Amino acid sequence: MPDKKTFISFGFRMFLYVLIGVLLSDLLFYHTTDHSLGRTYYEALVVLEVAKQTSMLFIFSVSSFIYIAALVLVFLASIVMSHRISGPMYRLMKCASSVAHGDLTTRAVLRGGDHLVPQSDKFNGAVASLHESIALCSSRVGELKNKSYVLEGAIGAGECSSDKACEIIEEMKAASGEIGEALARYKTT
Amino acid sequence: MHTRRRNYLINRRFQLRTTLAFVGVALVCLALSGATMLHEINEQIELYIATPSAEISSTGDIILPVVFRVSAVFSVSMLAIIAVMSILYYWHAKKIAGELDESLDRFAGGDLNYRLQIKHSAAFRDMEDEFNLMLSLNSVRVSALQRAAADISMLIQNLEPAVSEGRDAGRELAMLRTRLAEFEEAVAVFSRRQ
Repeated sequence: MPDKKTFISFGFRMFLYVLIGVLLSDLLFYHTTDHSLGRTYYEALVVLEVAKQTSMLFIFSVSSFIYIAALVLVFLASIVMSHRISGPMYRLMKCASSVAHGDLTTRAVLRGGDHLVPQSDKFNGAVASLHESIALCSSRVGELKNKSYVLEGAIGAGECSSDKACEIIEEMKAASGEIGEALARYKTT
Repeated sequence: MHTRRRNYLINRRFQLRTTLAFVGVALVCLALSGATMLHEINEQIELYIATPSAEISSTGDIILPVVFRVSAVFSVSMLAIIAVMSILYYWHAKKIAGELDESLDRFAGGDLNYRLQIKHSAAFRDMEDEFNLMLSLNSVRVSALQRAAADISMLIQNLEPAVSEGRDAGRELAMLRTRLAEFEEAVAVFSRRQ
């Protein structure tokens, strides 16, 4: 999740954008509506009546451009902000799908500024751990196969009760034990 | 690894809903400020017409204070609303992250029976489904490996007395190799590349 510094920076930027927008709109209002009231009360009344009639038009025309720009800014900022959650979630979803299909080498890689970085690290760690366990099992099974042939050879050579046969069986037990230990940590159905 | 995202609308439901909320609030604030400004300007003009003052020499002297006042109120209220909405947005994201955390902690701890539930946002249902599918498939596969490993261990245990008594251990060895081949096939599922 974003830290305090990011949050403050975002708040400061929003304040700056709003301030600039407001100042610009105020200056435009002043520039377009400022007229001298004349020397007499009658002249002032005429000017003010015109100002009353035209103020709506001025407000609409002067502010519409700035307001549209403000809305576009808010729209883009919202898309970017929400993307920083949706992007990582989509990436995690794709990685979960890959792992479901059997690919344990997949890793969720996020960009700078994305949220859910700690979550993606946990996911990667969990998948890496499963990958290691499976790799260990695969390696030990290969060893067991080889030892079964060696044992068969020893039996065929009449070495059934020799130390060699016992040693081979002890090694097979140890390899089988390692497989059991690697898989025991997983709670399954 | 992607360095640039071409498509910014990944989860349209979540992103458009968030965006519409922010844009809606901004639109309401802008419309209210415009209407307030118009009303106040007309009021000030009426006030001047009723009680003219020698200090006021242009329409700007009447309109500008109103514009500043309304703009200040509008700015503060818009910033306050954006701040509140941003806090709500981050609270919502934190809730989702928290739910993910619990599920990922369990996955990392080896619990393949736990299922992810994102309660706070229906927009991420796809993510929830894919994650749970991953957990359930791996649970089935690892369970098969565990049973096969137990069988292999038992067969090796049975092998020892047969060998030491000098009996024909050919049958036990054949069964062991069959189980090892099955185990290898089950492990091979995990070697697929996407």
